[in-house]
This record gives sequence, C-alpha cells and structure tokens, in this order.
Amino acid sequence: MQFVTSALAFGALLFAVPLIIHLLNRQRFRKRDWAAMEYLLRAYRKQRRRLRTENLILLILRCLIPILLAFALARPIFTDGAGILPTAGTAHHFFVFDRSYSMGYQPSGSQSAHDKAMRIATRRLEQLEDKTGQKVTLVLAGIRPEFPVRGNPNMKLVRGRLARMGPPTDSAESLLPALGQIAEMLEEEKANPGETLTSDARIYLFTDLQRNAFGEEFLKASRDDPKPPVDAKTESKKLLADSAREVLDRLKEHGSILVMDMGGAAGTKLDNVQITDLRLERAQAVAGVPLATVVKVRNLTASTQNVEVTLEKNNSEPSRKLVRVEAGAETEVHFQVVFRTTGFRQLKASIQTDGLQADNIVYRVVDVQKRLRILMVEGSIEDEYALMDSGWLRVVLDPTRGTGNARVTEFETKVVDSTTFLLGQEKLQDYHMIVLANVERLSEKVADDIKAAVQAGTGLFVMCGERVQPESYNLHLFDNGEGPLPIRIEGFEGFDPGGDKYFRTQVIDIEQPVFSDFKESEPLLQVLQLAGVYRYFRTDRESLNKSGKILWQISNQQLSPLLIEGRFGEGRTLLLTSAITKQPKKWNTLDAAIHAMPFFHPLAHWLSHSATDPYNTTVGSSLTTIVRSRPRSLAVVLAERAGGNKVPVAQDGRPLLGGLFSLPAFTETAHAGIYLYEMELGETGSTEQVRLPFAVNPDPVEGDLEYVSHSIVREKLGIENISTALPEDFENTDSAGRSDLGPFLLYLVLLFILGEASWARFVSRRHSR
Amino acid sequence: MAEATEKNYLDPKVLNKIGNLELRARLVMEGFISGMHKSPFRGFSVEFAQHREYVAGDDIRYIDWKIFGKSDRFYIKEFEEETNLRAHIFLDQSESMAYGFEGGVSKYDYAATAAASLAYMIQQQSDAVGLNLFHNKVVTTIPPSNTRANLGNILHQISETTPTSQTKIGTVLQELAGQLPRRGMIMILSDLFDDPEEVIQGLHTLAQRGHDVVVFHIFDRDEVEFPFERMTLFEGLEDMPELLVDPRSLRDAYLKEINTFQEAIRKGCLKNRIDYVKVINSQELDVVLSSYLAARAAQAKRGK
Repeated sequence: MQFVTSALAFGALLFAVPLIIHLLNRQRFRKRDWAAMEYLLRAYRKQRRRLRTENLILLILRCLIPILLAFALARPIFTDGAGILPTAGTAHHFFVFDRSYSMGYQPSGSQSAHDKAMRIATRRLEQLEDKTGQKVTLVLAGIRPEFPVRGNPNMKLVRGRLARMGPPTDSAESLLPALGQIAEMLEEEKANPGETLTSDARIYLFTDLQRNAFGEEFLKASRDDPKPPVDAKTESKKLLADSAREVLDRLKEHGSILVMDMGGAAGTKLDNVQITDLRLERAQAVAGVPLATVVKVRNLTASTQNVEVTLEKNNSEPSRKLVRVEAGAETEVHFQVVFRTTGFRQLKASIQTDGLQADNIVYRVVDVQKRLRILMVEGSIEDEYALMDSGWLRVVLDPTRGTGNARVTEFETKVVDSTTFLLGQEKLQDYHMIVLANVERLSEKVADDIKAAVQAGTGLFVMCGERVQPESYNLHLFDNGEGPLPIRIEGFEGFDPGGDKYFRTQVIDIEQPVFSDFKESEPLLQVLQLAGVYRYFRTDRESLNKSGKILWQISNQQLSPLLIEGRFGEGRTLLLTSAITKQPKKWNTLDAAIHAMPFFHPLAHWLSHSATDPYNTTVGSSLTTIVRSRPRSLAVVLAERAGGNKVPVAQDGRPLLGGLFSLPAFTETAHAGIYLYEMELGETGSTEQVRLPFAVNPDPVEGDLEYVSHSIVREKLGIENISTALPEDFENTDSAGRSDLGPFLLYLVLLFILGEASWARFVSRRHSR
Repeated sequence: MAEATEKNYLDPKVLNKIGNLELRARLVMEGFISGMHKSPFRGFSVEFAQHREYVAGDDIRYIDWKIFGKSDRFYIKEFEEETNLRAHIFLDQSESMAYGFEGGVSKYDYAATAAASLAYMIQQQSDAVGLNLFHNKVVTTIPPSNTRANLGNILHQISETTPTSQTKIGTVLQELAGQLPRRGMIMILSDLFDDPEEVIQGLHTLAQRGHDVVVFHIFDRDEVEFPFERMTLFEGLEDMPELLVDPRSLRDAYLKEINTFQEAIRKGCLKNRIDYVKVINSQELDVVLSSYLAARAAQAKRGK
C-alpha cells in the first residue's frame, strides 16, 4: 500500500484525541455523597457490561474518524496481484495524437481524422475539468515525440494548448516511439515515486489506424506476409514492429489503453493518388544542359485515373502532362528540364488536389553547376597527351579539354603532374572529382587535403599503374581502414602487357550506377567481361573496410578485385587496380572505346556526386551540410506548411578538416516543403549572405490509405478498447476500477460521523428515559 | 438556642394546617387518658356500645350467648371507650439520613420536622408521645408522656442529634418491639436503607404485638429522580464503596432498583396492615402530613 500524500497519513495519530478527551472527562467529575449507594451499585453491577459495550463502541467510532479522515486525505493506493496498476491517487491521462499526414485525409463533405480527434479530446478534457485528482499529458507522436504538456492538472490550460496545436505533420512515423517514451516515463515514475504518484494511467491513442500507425511491419505480420525484409531500413522497422506488442504490454502494466479510431475506415482502403518520387536522371545538373526528370505517380484507387502532373522550376511557367494511371499502378512521367544559371534551383512536382494533400506535392533542390570539375593528377612523365595515364580518361570525358560547349561535355578537366600536385597548391574542394592516375606516392599534406575534400563530397578515383608505390597509398589513404581508400594495395602481378596471356573480368554488382550502361545492354556487358587484363595490383580482401565493396573482379584463381567502391564522409571513392590507358604497354584492353565510353561517363557522374544528398531529404530528417568557411548568424526559414517563420539556430558550425565546417543539424522538419538555411559565410569584413535550400518531402508509405481492422488490433496487439467516438458512459469510468480508497474513505468518515452521532444520541436517549 | 431550633421544627405553617384536623386513630388505642380516641381493645371497655349480627371472621369470644339462647342467633357484643393515645415516634438517625439534595433539607432534617410536628400535635390532644432515636441500635429513648415538658424534651433531643453510623433498622425494630409493654401507635420515620426482608420482619413483629404502626418512608428527591447529568463520583455513606460513573447511563437501572426496594417495603407494610406513607423531602411537609391524617381520619370513620 502506498499513499499519494504520505505526510497526511500521520494525521492518523489524531486518533489519540478522543482517547485523551475521554480520559480527561474521567478526571473531570463531581464528588457527591450518596445514601442509596447499595441500589446504585446494584444497578451498576447489572448494567456494567452493557455500559462498557456502549462506551467502547462510541470510543472506537470516535477514534476511527480521525484515522479514516487522515487516510482519506493521504489517499492510500493498493496494488493487487491481478495486475491492476497502482491505481489511484492521481489518474494520469495521456492524450497521444497520431501526427502522421494520413490524419489529415479529408474526404469532401466530412471532417478529417485530425479534426475529429481534436473535437473529442477537447470534449474529454471538459469532462475531466470538474474532477479532482486528474492530470493530463499531451503527446504528439512523430519522429521525435513531443510533450507540450506534461502531467498538468489544469484542464483549461491543457485545452488552450490543444487548441493551439496545428494540423497534422507530414511525417509517416508510427505511434511506437511516443508510446515507448510514455512507457519509460511511467516506469521511471513507478521506480522513483514523487509527491504525486500516478495511480491509474489512461492512454488515449487518437489515430486513424492507417496501416503504418503501429509500424508497417505490423500490418505485414498480420497478413502473414512472407516477404522478408530487404534492407536495413526495413529491418529496422521490422524490429520496431516486433516491439509494438512489447511496448503496448509495458503500457498496459501501468494502466488502460483506449484506441480512438478517428479514421472510421478500419479494415477498408480509401482512394488516394500520390507522387512517390521526383528524380533526376543524373545526379548533377549542368547549366544549359537538358536534364531528364522523372515524376513517379501512384494510383492507390480501385479505378484507372487520369492525372495531370505539373512540374515547376523556380516558380517559372509550369510544364503539365496528363497521364493515365492504372488502378494500383505506378507511372513515370518524364520531363526535360534545362537550368540556365548555376546555383541551387528548386523543382516542384504536383498533381491535382485530392482528399490527402500532403503527398500531392514533391520538391527537389538541384545544385546546378557550370561544369563538373575534374582534377586529373598525372603520374607519368609523358609529354604526349594521348599517352598520359590520365589521357584516355580525359579524352573520353572532356574531348574539348575544358573549352567546349556544355552541350558537348559536362566535364571540365584539369591535368596537373604529380610533382606540382604534391606541392599542395590545388584547392581540392573546388573539384567534383579527383583522379590519381598512376601517381607514384603521396605526401601527408596532400593526403590530408584529399581526405578533407572527399569528406566534403568530392569523389576520388585511383587508377593504379606501374609507378604506384602501395606503401604510400596504404599509409596515407588506406590509413588502416580509416581513410578514403577502401582496401589495402599490395604489389602488382599478372602477365606481360600486350602479350598472349591475360585474364578476363567479371562484374559482380551490375546494379552499381557505374555499370548503368552495361546493365541496360547485356551484349555490352558480355563484351566488357571478355576484355583482357594483363596486369593488376593485388589487394588484401581481408582489409576491405566497412564501406568497401568489390564491384568488378578479375577471373583469375584468386578472383582479384579490379574495381572497389568506398565511401569517406560525404565523398565516394573508386579504386581501379589496373590502369586504363592508351600506352603501348597498357595493362589491359579496357581502353577500347566500346568499354571506356560507357564506363567512364557513369563513373565520373557517380563520383562527382556526394554520397549523400543533404539538400533533398524526408520529413523528420536533420538539415545539415558542409560549407567552406565558418558560418555565422545561422537561421532557418521554415517551409510554408510549417508556417514559414524564421527560426534562429543557436549552435555554431562544427569545424572539419581542410577548413570546412558542418552546419548544426536543424531537426524541426515535421512538414514538407522548402527550408532555407540562412547564414553569413567568410571572415569578418568579407562575409557573404548565403541561403541554402533544402527540399523536405513526405514518405509516400503514409499515403497508402489502408486501415487496420479492429479485430487485427485486438488480436495482434491485445488492445481491447477501441472506439470511434467518446463512449457515453466514459465519464463514469473516471473513478471506476480504481483502487483509490481516498473517496471511499471520505464516505466512510461521513458514515462514521453519522454513526457516532446516532449512537451517541441513542445512548443518550436511553439514559435520559 | 433550643427555642430557635424548636421553632425551626415546629413550622407554624405546618402546625396550623395539622391543627385544623383532628387526629383520629383508625383503631381505638389503649390509653389511660379518656378523650376523643376510641379504644382499640374491645371487651375491655367499660361502656357497652351495641349488638350486631355475627359475621364470619368475628372473634367468637365476643358472642353474646344469652341472646343466642333466646333467639337462636349469633350476636356480637361491642364496647366503646375513649382512651388516650400512646404514641411512639421512631426516628432514624443513621448516616444515610444526612443526605439532602442541593438547595433542600436533608432527609434527617425533614424527618425530624415531621416527627416534631406529630409529637406536638399529639401532645396538644393530651395524648402521650414518646421518642426513640436509632441507627444500628437504639440510641435515645424518651418514654411517652402527655406533659409539656416531655414534648420539650423530645424536641430538644431531636434537635441535638446528628445522623451518624450505619443502619440496622430490622434489628432495631425487633429490639424495640420487645421494649414496648403496652400497645400503642408507632410512627417510624426512616429511609429504611437496610435489607427489606429484615425491615419487614421488624415491622411484622411490631404489628403482631398489636401496635398501630405507621411507616413514613423518607426519600430524598435525588434518590427518586436521580437527576444528575455529569460524570460523578458517588461516595457511599455508611461505609459503602464509591463509584465513578456517568449517572445518565445508570438512571433507568437505578430507579428500577430503588422502586423495587420501595415497593417491597410497601407490600410488606400492606401485608402486615401497616400504614405506609412514601415521603420525599422536596414535598411540602404539611401537605404530606395533613393528607395522611385526613386519609387516616376518613378510614377511621369508615371503620366506625
């Protein structure tokens, strides 16, 4: 047994007051001589037992009154063996709101689940307003659950806060993170009970029961879907779903759970048409170069839909296309976009408005470049351009040597010899890609510059040739698996270049974008794999780092890696263990145009693009990127759906290698749209105002308006109480099922007072007859 | 001082009311002084009164056999002779008589006043009156006399006495019965707080010896009402133990006990043809005495 306010329980000691009064009264008597003593004694002897009983009852009643009153005010709480929570004392109501964007679904002529939830929650708060011992916590379930009100007994204040709660966010997060936090809160409170102990937790889940409400995998499990998780994200969700029952069971140990089904469509599926993606054909956009852009539209209705897709570029005249999308199908709508100027540009794809607006618009931020700049570090001492180690690569990527029209080539190459490069005069961050073509060795300074640049997003392509000294690369770039080189290089081996003996190759990961052209053409791939490799550098497979992946290998006995992918910071790396050149003693026959052309272009595009695209992200993700100088006066202009306010960012940028800085992560991205990260860059006196746009888009999974049936929720999650409206007798349950003995004891006190008065009057009347 | 005390007992208001009444004994008392009283001793009188027809229960000693011889019927001879009343007043001076309710007189004072009044009145009728004071034994005895000096002596003795010691009234009555050689009127003024059986046995002995016994059963107002409200420590008189009790809780039971006791005495008196008068010391004494005497006079007339 516990007390809500244990200090008041000591008031039970007041039971001594009637005893003291009784004893004092016995001391305060009159003395009287009495003649008829014999008859008085005789009467006393006959009445002694009755008198003692009457007085004892009266004394017990009078002593019990202060004891019961003290206990009633202290509010004892019992926990029974049947698992009823520590009930009573204070009833703690948790109003958990599903803030995912499906809650905003509003069919014409009716209100959204969100509006319905607000109305019912307000009504419930009004019911609680007249009751004592009630407190409320508001929980906004999302990627980062928010608790705008915690354990507040002031219902008016809570209602005011509820009224200020905006529309649902554009997140697709389930309720589980919020429920997990509530469970932790209750467990902590139980372990460390304070002045006011939650005796009866009541958790109201205001949700539409969209399939993702308790985790996507929960619904799959309920259908016995045999499809195994395919990636880490799905695996993570699977784990989360596995824990759904566990989290709910933990909550049930502390109180009751009531699912308020605000969608009213349990077990059914509602119509929705959504944009699932806005994708660029290539990662980089170059000014003046047409860029293929794909808008994916999914029809989640039961009938074929004609959908008008609109694509806007920086609020300019939009392009429109009408497509026919079959029921349940996804269609790609292709546009050609040309950006005339460089810098960050915005794309906005939209379809006509339907019941669910959040997934009708998708944004994309494009960093438009004048050219993709490539620094080629030439390791040989050849003067003849064509015979250089980097020569053939340059011919393929930049036939005009940096002077041609952008429509001819998107790449702008610069070749420096290794001696010049080792002087460290090149500003590597200015390049999208660095090629080390048969460079003999690296200095520590240059290696650090390379690391800083790659970490910031510059790609690194290492082509090994006869001059390469593996020890230097292993020391500076492999760096025991911590550097940008994904694998340790050993000595070279193979046959004589240009001889009769060679090895063929085998592409292992055809899905890799580098092989995108080969993927599209099976004959091209076969030809590639028939090419010969005379020499190559051995590598230590055991040393492959965490981000390393072998993409292409030599068909020798050891299956020596030929092309290895790696990642370092935001930059990508590729190691080719056999250089592709036009030299007479070339190490392979991969320089043939049929191989080199479809290989080098995707390779350069892939490497020139950062491993991560910080400017295009999903709702709930952090907004951050790397900038080239110290940022000051940081602020973020929120997306229009989030209110469009400017929010200052208090933290400073985090310094990185090479004089770079990482912006502090901005996490308030609950709504979709374009966010602008504003800052001043540069040193005092030469600062420039910079606005970096970030496109934040919703996860389309939430737009699949399939709703879980009540029976599945009951069966799989063990939640019995599911209601679509506030039960009529709900108010009566505020005191039902609780072991709060306080009110009961108060009634008992009243009963005892009446009993004492009646008994005293009865005894008195008996005596006065 | 003595005079003042006597005046105190002989309240003119009381005596005035009693003086207007004639004290007439229901039964004819044996006496030496001829007067207005009828002798209780038929067959010893000097003056024949009348004949009357025999009824069952009459003493066959008084049948006139001569008339029976002539008429073959039974007639009883009745005699009449006025004689002096020989009255004895037994006044209880035990400690229990000292109790008196607040603002009132003690039972002893009340009984003493009544005794003095009766003695005075009897003396005024030229009848002889004597006094016996007792508690657990006879303490003082003043033989009956119709002299004024005797009355003064009685009154003085009453006024000089204070209640003390325990009661043994049953034993005392037995003792006194043996000491009274001639029949007379005996007036007992006491609370009779003793074993009722012993008390009745003593009264029975007196009545059996031919005395006209009148019991004035004296109660204090508190003893018959028990009006106490607050917690009270009752300290028993006559060496009785004490008792701390809420008197309200015992009122019913106590009154039942005291009534039972009083009723036992009353029935004992009735059984022995003894006049029983319940007296409460809050009552007006003149009313009590005059009521009793009036009732007694009426009873005497009916007897005639």
